[in-house]
Amino acid sequence: MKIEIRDVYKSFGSKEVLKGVNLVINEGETLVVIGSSGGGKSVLLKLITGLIEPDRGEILFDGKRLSDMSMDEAEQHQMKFGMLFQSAALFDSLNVMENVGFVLQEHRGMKESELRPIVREKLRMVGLEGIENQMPASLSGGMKKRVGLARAICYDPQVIVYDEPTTGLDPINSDVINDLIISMQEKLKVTSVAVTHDMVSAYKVADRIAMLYRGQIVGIGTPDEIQKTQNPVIRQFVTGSAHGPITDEPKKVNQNKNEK
Amino acid sequence: MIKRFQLKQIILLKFAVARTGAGVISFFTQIGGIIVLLNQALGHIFRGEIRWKSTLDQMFKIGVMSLPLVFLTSLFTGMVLALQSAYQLRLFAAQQFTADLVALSIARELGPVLTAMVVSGRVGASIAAELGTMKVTEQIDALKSLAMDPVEYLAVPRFLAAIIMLFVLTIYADVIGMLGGYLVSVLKLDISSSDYIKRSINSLMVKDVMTGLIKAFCFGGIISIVGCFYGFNTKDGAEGVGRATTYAVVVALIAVIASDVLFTAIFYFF
Repeated sequence: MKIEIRDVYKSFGSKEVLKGVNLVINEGETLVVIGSSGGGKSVLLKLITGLIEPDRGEILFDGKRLSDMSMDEAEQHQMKFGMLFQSAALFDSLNVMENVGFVLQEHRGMKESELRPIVREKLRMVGLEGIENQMPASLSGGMKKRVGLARAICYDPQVIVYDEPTTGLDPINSDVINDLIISMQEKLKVTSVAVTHDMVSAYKVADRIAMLYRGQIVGIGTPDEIQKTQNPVIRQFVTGSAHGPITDEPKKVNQNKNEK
Repeated sequence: MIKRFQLKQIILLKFAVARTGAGVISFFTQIGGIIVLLNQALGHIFRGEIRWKSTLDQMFKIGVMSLPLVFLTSLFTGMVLALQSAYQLRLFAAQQFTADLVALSIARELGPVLTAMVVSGRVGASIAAELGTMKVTEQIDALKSLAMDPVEYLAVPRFLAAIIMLFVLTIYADVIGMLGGYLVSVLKLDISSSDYIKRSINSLMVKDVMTGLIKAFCFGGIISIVGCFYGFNTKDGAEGVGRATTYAVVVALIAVIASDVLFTAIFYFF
């Protein structure tokens, strides 16, 4: 599925989070959106998955707007997206099998006996076995993310979105997740969108990287192009430097305020 | 020219007006949000989109688990009511009317209201805390991303369970409350057992019991919808969950008492 984001604005109260985002995500590619924490990356993902609506602008899915779809079409459209949440967001009251098979059970009315082999296969795809009856509270952070990914791919979506997939994980588990993102794209031929501030992860999984800064996309390119960019904002972010436009500009604004 | 202290007064006045305005807007926004949620829940119920297994689970949590608390509250209230009314009635040598007073007060007012208050504290808080935690840990967003309406999945079972179980709990509270009055009257006030039971039954009319039960039905709806509303609108992590829980209990208690006044007035005049 090709996703086009055209001049999208989104505010929460008086806080303007996105201020005219323009972005095209091509079918079958892995696009990683980088940017500082609290910069609106997760909001962008929620807009893409239809969890929230933009205040202005439009998002086209294979040329179609969500607002033009009927209720049934919108529900089917929702099922084309699988989302891995930052905290995995597994349902506490359900065990691993019920979590992973949630959609198949709720929307396709599958019985437990039909569900079990599918859930087992999806869990195997994310490298987990024999944990179907465990509760989410007994799983480690990395396992929760993998179960979250198994839940996201259980109903064969066309697009998988990853919200900070490696945040809070140790380097080894982070790399496991990175490998899984790559293998999902290869095996399932899905379009993938990930937001992260982990540059190791971004370079490894991305076909293209876009930088979100102050509510706008300030640069986009292949990992190679991003590494060699002369754009000072992107440069400071990818090199992780404490000095540069990202940190200097807020200081200047504060200084101006104090002078006034 | 405006003097300095006048300027200060203008600023203070402006601040006070702004705060009052913000409070009024927030009040009506919340009332509106609760009514919208109620409307959505009723829509699902009328379309038959009810998860009975989940509703039964909630009936157990809301109803069965509240039985000990409702038992104690009703028993003690019945006992105190009998003692306090006997104390006054004795002055007029009308101690035998204790049974009438206890039965009527409990069936019409104290049974439903006290049960609703106890359930507000226990169940309203638990609904807000559970849904609030689900909200801040992105589980509500996860439900939406899996094409599941959180109102249908989470609010409707709690709403149905609360209205059914408040109804049942109120009948239970009525019986236990009257039992409390009976124990005090027979053991301490020297009223004969048969006399007390006969007077209790004779004093109660179907209308008295029904008005109490209609109230209970509505109180169940109020407690669950208010709890769900504050749960769904939780923000800012653990602190937000605490705030949502407090709001859910306080608003549900006020709404229960306010609607009790309304119902009592309606039943009095019609």
